[in-house]
Amino acid sequence: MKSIYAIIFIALFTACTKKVSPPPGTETPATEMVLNVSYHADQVPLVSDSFIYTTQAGYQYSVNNLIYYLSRISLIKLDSSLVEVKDYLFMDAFNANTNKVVMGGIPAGNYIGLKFNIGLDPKLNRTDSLPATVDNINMQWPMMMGGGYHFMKFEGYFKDQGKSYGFNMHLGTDTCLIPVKLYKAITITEGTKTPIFMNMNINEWFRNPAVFDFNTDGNYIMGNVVAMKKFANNGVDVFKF
Amino acid sequence: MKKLIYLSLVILVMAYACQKGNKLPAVYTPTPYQLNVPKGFPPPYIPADNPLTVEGIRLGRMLYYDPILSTNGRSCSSCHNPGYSYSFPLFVAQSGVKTSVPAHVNLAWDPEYFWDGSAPKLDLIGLADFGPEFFNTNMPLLFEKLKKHDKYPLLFKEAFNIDDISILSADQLQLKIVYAISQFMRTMISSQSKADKFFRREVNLTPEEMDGFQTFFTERGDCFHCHGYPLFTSNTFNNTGLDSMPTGADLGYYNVTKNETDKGKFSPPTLRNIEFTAPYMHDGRFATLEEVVEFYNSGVHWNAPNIDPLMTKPAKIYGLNLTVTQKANLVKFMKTFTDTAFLNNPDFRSPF
Repeated sequence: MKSIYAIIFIALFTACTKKVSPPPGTETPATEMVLNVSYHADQVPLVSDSFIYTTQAGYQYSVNNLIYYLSRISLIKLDSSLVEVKDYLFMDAFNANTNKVVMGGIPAGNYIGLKFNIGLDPKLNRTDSLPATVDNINMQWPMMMGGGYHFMKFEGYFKDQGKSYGFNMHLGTDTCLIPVKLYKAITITEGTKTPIFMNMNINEWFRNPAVFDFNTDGNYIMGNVVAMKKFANNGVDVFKF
Repeated sequence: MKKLIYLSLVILVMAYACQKGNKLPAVYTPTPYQLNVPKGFPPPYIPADNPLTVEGIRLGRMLYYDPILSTNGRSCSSCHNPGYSYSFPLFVAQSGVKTSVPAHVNLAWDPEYFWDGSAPKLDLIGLADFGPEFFNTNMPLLFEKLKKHDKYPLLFKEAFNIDDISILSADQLQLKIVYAISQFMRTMISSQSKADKFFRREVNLTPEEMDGFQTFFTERGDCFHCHGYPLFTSNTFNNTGLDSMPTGADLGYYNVTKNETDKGKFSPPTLRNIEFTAPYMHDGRFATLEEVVEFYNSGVHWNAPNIDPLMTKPAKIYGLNLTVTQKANLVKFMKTFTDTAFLNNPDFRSPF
C-alpha cells in the first residue's frame, strides 16, 4: 500500500516539475532551409526598366514587374516521396526580401531535389483562400474570369519596328499551373541552415518548348486561354539550380 | 502632544492627497483602440510610434474640425468635407497648381499618400498644413488658445499624458496634433457600400450595374488591376497615359524619386464614394465619371513615357472600344461604391 502512495507521490511530483529551458546560447539551433532565388536573362542579371534582353522571337524587351506565387514547395526524398516545407510563397523579383526565404521545420536527411508549382495549386487557388495581405488582394483573379489568384504578373515593354509597346504576361486558372521539379542532392543537417540557390532564366518563358511571339501569340494574355497555356508550358524549365 | 500633532499632519496630508477633484492622475494611460478591420481587408498600417487610442482619436476628431489650428478660419474639414466623402472639389495652390483633393477614406491601408507619393507617412502629412498655404498657423497664438480652451488641456493629457502643452516646442506640439488627427483618420473606414454587400452576397446588382461589374472586373475594361477589391486601389504608381509629355506637377512620382521611369506616374486613388469626389485625376481635369471613362475608352496617350504596360491592350491597341451602353453601365457600377453608412457615420462627423 505504501508503495502505491509513493508512486502517486512521485507521479504528482514529476508532473509538477517545470521543464528546464537550456541556458541562453545553448539552445539547439533550428533546422532550416534557406531558399535563395536569383533572376537572369541567360547570363545577364535582371534589372528593371532596361531594354537589354531579347526574346527568342527577336524582340528587345525590358521588365518592370515580375511577381508570382510558388506553391507546395517540397523536398523530394530518395524514394520520390515528398516532404512539404511551405504551402505557398509570394515572390517579387525586384524585392530582395522575397528572394531569400527561410523555411523552418525541415526534417534532417538526404533529399534528391525540390518540387514546387509556379502558381497556386487548386486547393489554394480559390478566391479569398489566402490571408488578406496587400500582395494577395492585388493578385486576385476576378471571379468573373474564374476566381482565385494571378499565378504570375510578368510585365514590361518590347520593341517592335522601333516602337515600344507594353506586354502583360498574366497567368492564372488551374489549367495554367506549372509543375517544376529540380534534381540535386540536398542534405539537410540537424541544427543547421542549409542554403538552396535557384535561378529563374526569364528568357526561357519565350522559347522552350515553343517560341512565344508578342505579335502572333499576344502581348496581353490574361483571359486568352491558348496564349496563357502556351506561355505556362514554357515555364516548366525557367528555374534551374 | 507632539504625537498628536504629527498624527494630525499625516491625516491632513493623506486627506489632501485623496481628495476628489477634476485633476487626472499624474500619469494617464490612454485606452488602446482596436480598429475594426472589415472581413477581407488586409492588416492596416498602424505605426508603432502612434498607436490608436480612444483618447487620441477623440482629440484628433476635435482638431480635425476645429479652426483653432488656423488664423484663416480653416480646419482640416475645410478641404475634407464629409459631403464630398471627406474630400473637396479642387484645391488651387498659390503656385497655380490644381489638385483634386484626395478623399479621407480607408487611409489605414494607404502606405504612401498624395497623388505623387510625396508623403510617405500619414502621421506627418498634416505638418505642411500649418504653413501659409493652408492654416497659416500662428504658433504662439495656438499655444495660448489651446491652453485657455475649456477642453483641450484635458484632451491632451488623456491622449498624450501632457500636463501642460507649454513644455512642448512648436514642432513638438504640431507633431502631437497631427498624430492625433492621423489616429482619427485611420478610423474612417468604408466597407458598407452596395458593392461590398454584393461581394458579400448580401445584395444583387441591377442588370445595368452587373454589366458594369463585368466591364470593371474583366479585360473588357480592365479597371481591376489598379482598382481591385476591397481597397479599390493597388497602392502602386502607374502612368495611365494622361499626358504625352508631362511637365511640372504632371510628372507625378518622378518629382519624388527623380527616376526617369517614374515620369507621369500617379497613385491610383481608391474609388470608394467616387461619385462624391469630382473632379477627377490628380489635377481634376475631368469633371465627371463619364469623362473619365471616355478617357480610358478613347483618350489614352499611347506615346506617353512610361505608359503602364497594363494600358496596352491585346494586339497593341490602346483604348477599350466600349459601347455607349457599356460606358454608361460602368459608371452605374462605380456608383455602387458609394457608402452612405460611411458618409453619414456620426463618429466621423464634427463633434461641435
